[in-house]
Amino acid sequence: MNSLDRLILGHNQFFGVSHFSAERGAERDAYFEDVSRVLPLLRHACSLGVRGLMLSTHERAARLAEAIRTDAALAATLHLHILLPYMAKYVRAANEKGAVRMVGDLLGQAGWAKGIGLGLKAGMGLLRKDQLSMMEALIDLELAPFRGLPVRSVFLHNALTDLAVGWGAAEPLRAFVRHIRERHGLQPGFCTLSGGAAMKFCREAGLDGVVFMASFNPIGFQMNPSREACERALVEYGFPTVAMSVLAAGQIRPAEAAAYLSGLRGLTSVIAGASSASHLEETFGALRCGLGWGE
Amino acid sequence: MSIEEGMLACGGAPGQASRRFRGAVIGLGKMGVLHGGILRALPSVELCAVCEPERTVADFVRAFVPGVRVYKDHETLLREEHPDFAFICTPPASHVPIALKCVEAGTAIFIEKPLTTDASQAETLLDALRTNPVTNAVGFMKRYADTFCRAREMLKSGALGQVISCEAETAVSQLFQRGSGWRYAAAEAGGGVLIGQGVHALDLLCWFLGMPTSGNARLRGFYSEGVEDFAWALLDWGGGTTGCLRCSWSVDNRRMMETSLTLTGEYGTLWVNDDAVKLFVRTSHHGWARGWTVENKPKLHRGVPIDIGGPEYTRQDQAFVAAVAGGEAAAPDVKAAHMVQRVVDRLYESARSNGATVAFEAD
Repeated sequence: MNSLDRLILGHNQFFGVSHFSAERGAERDAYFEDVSRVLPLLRHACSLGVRGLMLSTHERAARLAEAIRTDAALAATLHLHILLPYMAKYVRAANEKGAVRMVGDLLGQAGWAKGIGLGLKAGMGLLRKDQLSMMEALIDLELAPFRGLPVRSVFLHNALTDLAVGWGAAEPLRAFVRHIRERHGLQPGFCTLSGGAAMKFCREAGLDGVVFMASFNPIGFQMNPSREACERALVEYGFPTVAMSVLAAGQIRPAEAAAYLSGLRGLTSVIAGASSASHLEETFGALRCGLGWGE
Repeated sequence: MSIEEGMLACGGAPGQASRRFRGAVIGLGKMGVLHGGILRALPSVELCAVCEPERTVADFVRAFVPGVRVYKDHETLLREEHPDFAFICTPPASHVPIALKCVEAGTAIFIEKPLTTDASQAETLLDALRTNPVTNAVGFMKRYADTFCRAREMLKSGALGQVISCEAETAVSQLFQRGSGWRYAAAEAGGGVLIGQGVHALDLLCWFLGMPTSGNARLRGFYSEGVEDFAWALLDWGGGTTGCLRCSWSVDNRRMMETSLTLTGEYGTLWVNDDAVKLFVRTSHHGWARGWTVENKPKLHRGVPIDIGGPEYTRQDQAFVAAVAGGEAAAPDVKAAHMVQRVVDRLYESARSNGATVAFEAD
């Protein structure tokens, strides 16, 4: 089984996502529309000891993946971690044509992708209303652009993880883990904004061999139900975990974040975003130093 | 049980709840699925049943969610389950008929926004609630978002003095071709972006400033036929406050729906959106120092038991369940949402009359 990279560069800034402000997100979205602007940052991140890059299945991610594929040095150094699906795309599509038609259209796309071996499965899924088969076909469709690249792990988006946890639906999560591990040979993971509830649920459901990506920062931003409960869950349930939102959308200085994270037991990796060379140096320099994760 | 005790019972860790309340979700579209997930995670709630005629979604619940019974129609659900409360998350045209059945059965109701397709339909519901009072609420979840709550506190503390001008907006990059489904069918949705999304900003304006007294509106469809993709309204509160509302689901570079308000008053200006609240005060007064006060979402964050679509949804559902537990009124209730609906109706009327000024009668 592939392992997680300790330091992972986040993707939000490349795709217009900002938990600080939508306006800032839109500015960065426009800037990184040209993916050639991302590549120097990736090279610089590698030079700072960052070995992982998280990519959401945003349409721009496919172009970025293609650019990485053609850069031999990057492709040899950087491991990809995929977060799927890109939820905003689906929320908008569900609003535009209704959730049921949206799923039908997506499966149509999977059918179109017969050449890469997805069509038959999607067709059967629709015909038999075999929900898990349908879900697997959609996962394969999302992962298709990353084929042949050094992908190490696949995380389920927090909206879906937390939805399944809320509904108490263990089987779809179990099927996700099985599919990612057995069909793709990759490390399955769950992203969550409900660290306390999600880790408890997965441990009780016997979901072994999964990793988590959950918020950890000194002000408790996106740490639900509370900072203390998430810290306890990290220790009590023992899942290898990637800390995200470590800078709390820019509210915390990297050194302060590193000091906080270094006091946590059970943390495997840290993911953080950066949109410039100096920002990369400040953030990952502080994290490496504070966490003692230097090479 | 007081509402505070109710909140504690509904928001705390498992084991803190003194009693579990039986809930149902009627309609498993995007919002029904969201509320169902939140409710099932609340320790004080037993989500006993859902109602969804569409098979794909219903089958998913049947297959993977233990202990939740699935019904095709709400009347059978109410008759067989007798839930303490029901979340009505169907398209707006069916909200009131379903709510009337719930009220008749003595079941508390939470209705997704908008309340209905026109205010007169909601009046039968208000009558029914007078005869059979049950806890009732409407899903204007922005009232539970940290930034908007904080902005209202600032306003109510007198930070701005008299409000002179306000601007409100909702915007999202959602529709750039003909849409399909009930959201774009006037008979089912009641209208387009004004009632579908702009109503969030309008509700916030009513919550912040009270009901406006008069206004006028212009609408524009471009991608849609029969409903508007763009809406503009001028609103007047009397007593010197005037404002405007602008909404569209067909604007560029808005990844998610954004809601924002700007209020300008005699002492300064208040800006608030989903990310931050910013207050600028020109002169020190009422305990507010001259200059900027900026508070953003990360620093305002308060934990919730589970976050699926944003903590405001969880907080809203907790508050509703707490009100059911305490036998108290929930907020915003059907009466408050009816007030917003009346403003929406009159703005549509104004638009049909080429932007003629219309009055919004208060109760």
